[in-house]
Amino acid sequence: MPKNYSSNIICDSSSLISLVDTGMISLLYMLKERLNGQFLITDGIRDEIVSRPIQSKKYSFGAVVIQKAINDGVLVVLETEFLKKTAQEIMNMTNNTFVLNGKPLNLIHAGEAEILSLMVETNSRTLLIDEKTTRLFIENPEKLYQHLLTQYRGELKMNRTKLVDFKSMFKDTRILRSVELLGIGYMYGFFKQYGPLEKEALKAATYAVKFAGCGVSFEEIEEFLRKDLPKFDEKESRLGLQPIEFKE
Amino acid sequence: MLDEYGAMNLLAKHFREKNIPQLHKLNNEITRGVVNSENKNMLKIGILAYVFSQILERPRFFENVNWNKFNERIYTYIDASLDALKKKNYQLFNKILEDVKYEVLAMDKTTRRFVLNLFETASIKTAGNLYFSGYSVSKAAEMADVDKLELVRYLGSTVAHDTEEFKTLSIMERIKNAKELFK
Repeated sequence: MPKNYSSNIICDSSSLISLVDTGMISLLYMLKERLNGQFLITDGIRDEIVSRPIQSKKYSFGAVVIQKAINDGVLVVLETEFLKKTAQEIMNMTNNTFVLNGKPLNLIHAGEAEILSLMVETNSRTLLIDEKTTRLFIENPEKLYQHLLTQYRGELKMNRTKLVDFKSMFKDTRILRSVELLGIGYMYGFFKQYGPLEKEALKAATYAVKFAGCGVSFEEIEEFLRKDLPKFDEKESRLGLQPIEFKE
Repeated sequence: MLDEYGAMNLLAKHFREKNIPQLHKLNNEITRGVVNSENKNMLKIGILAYVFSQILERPRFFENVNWNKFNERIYTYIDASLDALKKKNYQLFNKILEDVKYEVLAMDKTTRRFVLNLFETASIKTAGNLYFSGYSVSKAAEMADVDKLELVRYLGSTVAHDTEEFKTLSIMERIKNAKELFK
């Protein structure tokens, strides 16, 4: 029987940092209206991007912006006490997948394991994350292995059993980065506010999130911007029609 | 394989010889090793190697009237730290590293031009290397004892994400995959 997935998007702090730093938090407000689910964060993520930075001179403004998004219901915080067991299980899988000279590489942090466990426990399929290691673990651990081979001397092994367990847990997971949210926003008319500069604004915003730390390459951005991007027609969408098809 | 004593010895040698490329190399070598060993003491030596390379690169340090006095004190601390490592007294070693940090920051304070001090800059760059070497961003931040927010921003100023192995799905493919989420 097919699993009934929720349409929530679980958000990692890395993407929220990129969006806040580039003044793009209003994009989340717009997309929230169109999202069939919710943008969820853990209490641990809230501590990382609100509770701690709000006390610092350098980061307090970003923290205030995110706290407002929480207050406005755009971001929903979940307490994560119940996630501990699953998070531990995930840590055990990820941090025993690659073994260098007989010693496992503990590449993933408890915080990332926690958001992955939130995906499992809330039956969510979509993860918004800008950092590369967790993304590679989910999408293509073989590529991560290839990269690790370029970094280390010695015997690097991949524990396929752990990897199979992990893959089966996240086989239907899809990942978005802040740069893809910008693309979706563009298609829904988020950048129309810039008038004739609409496409230019998208281009500038995609580079801005990259420079703010989004794990995307210049090549990917250039390839994306070369495309003739479709638009979701607002009227039709409100009438319940399907958005227009993407061109290849 | 390099241990703390060997690493500190190399650090002392390269600093005495004012060998900036070797100090950078030592920082890189230690950083990669740490992903496997998770040895925070080693990472502190790696960060110090980077700090020393920065000191040797900046005339505001070595042209300072207190440079000779500063050097003498640093050598004394390095010798003491080597003694501590020989005796495997890691608590004392860490205290000595704190003293070194205090000396460097006192010198840095008089001529500083940036918000981040030398140790913060070195830690961020080291965390960036840890990330590139395979750690997740949170793990790299935790190991190098830096703020994740600072690290994410720093990564944006590097070409860390322009690596072929990090490329999986294209932006358009991800958008397509996500379209059913939105009304």
